[in-house]
Amino acid sequence: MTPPSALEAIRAEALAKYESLDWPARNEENWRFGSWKEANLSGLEPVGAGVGIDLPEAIEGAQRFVFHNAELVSGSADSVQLLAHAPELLPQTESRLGSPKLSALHRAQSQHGIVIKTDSGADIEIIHLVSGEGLLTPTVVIIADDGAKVRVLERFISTNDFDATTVLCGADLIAGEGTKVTYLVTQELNANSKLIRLADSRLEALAHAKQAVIHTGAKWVREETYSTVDGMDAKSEILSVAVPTTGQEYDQRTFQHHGARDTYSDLLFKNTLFGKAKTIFSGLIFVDDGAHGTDAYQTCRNLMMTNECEANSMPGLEINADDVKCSHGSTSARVSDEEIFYLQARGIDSKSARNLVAQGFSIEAIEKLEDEQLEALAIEVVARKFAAIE
Amino acid sequence: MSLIIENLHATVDGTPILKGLNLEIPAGEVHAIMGPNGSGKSTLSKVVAGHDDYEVTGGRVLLDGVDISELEVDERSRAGIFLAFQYPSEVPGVSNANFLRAARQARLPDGEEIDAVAFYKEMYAKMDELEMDRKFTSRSVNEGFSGGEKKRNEILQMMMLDPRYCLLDETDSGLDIDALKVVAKGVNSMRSEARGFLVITHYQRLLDYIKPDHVHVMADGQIVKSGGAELALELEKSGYDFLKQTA
Repeated sequence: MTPPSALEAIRAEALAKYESLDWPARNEENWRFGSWKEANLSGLEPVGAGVGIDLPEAIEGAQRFVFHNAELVSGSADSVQLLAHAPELLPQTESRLGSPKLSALHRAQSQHGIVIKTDSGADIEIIHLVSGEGLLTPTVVIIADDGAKVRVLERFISTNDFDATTVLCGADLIAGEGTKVTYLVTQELNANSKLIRLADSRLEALAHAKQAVIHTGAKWVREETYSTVDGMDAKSEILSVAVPTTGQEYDQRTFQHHGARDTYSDLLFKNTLFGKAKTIFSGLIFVDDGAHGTDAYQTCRNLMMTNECEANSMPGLEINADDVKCSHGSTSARVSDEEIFYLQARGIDSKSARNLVAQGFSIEAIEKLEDEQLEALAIEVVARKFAAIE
Repeated sequence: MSLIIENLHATVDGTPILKGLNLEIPAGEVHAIMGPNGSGKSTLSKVVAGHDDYEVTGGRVLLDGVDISELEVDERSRAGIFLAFQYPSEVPGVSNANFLRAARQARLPDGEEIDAVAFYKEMYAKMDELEMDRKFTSRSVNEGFSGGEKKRNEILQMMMLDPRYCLLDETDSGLDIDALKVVAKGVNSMRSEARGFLVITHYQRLLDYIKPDHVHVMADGQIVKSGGAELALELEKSGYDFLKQTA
């Protein structure tokens, strides 16, 4: 356990950093098209005690941890550490995608979370029940070693429809040699809340990680996903499925960093935009000097369900090695009239037909999880959103 | 009981395609339409199904006496029209089973739920009949299907939806002879006194397996000649040259 003085030092340093940095501003490339003003959290106090609600059905076989705001209310800490006991494992990485001030704030304030450190295996479900006006700063750290097989589900759920909670969360994944990690995050916050998620991962040789997020809630999401494939034959899959509607803006920035030769990464983001929804995707594949044999893909697909929605995509590529296979692309499309005609010709009304096609569009990405239980849950979360959109 | 197409006129982007077409398909009969490329055969099936790329500029379609000309595509389907597509759409991420369930569910009154066990039992029995592998239930609708698999899937949908009048738009295109036999077997199993068929085809071959009661020749947006099953054989032998002679 870290002596209090060490923890205090971490926090003091983070606080100093936070205070020395500026809030995101209009002219920053990493905030292009984004609502940088939303990221200004000055004056926001930490939320108080949380409350419970009926819990969703548990994932079979997984060990469940439930937080009411910052308080762990269920789950035994046999196989995991609570962040409070291992603050030295707080994500130390600076945000490299535009939010160093926010990551410093997270480090200075995060009091609660889970550290999953295993060299054998773990199957964990974390539920954050979120309520209250103010700031909540949870953390999840996954450290897998020695071929461990790890599955983590993390859900953010508002306990009511009105509290404007700002969740600033950090997620750190270190997938050691030969490990297999599946990590799904579902964001089901209410329409007044915000989520800022700073996710960092590093994969060592022969590691295979699938990281997926499902966004259906919140009025504003800023997500920065930095993934480094750092050892030969490491394989990183990054998935996102988002279904925003009027009043929702999802701003996602990604960085696929190939730091070693013969590494693989594949990113697939799928947004289905209803009403006046807005999305921003900015992604970069970056291949280091010497990372030959890199195999990297990046795809962002937007399905535009109305004429009023807005999807911004900025795919990017920077290659400093030879013999690489890289592709990146972004598409925005409407549901095809011929598909709708086909479904209608089977008796399905036009609105249901459009929703069926749109759900199919999300499911295509969800199926890449290749985990029946997580897929079923993800589909349920997405289906609930579709049902709520009228 | 019949499907009556009465003096039907339709245009696409202002160009007239159907020019006063008349046809009656009584329940219990199979009618075949043949005709040269561009005669309007596929347009006819789409217009009857209600495709909104086509503007109906005159005439009407009566289903058992009820004018369905103003109905939406899905309403016509629920009223009993089934169009088996020449080029069925792919619907990524929507499994065949969920698609069929949604189509069946759409036929139930509000608040009534489909009996899932009975539904699957029925679907599997029909798939067996069409020699379709069970894996097609979980595969996305038509995605990655071969031409033959797509056509079998059309017939599966037709069997599951139990329509009053079936329009088969070039169902034989892209089928090898074995697949053609299976598809024809499916169609024949559905022939009944209560159901009518309109089979659109280029080739007489399909009609060896689905025996028509009447054969019509379509040219320039109209039915120009009608006869019995022997007319198809005649056309196979002499082609459509007679159209030029009469023109």
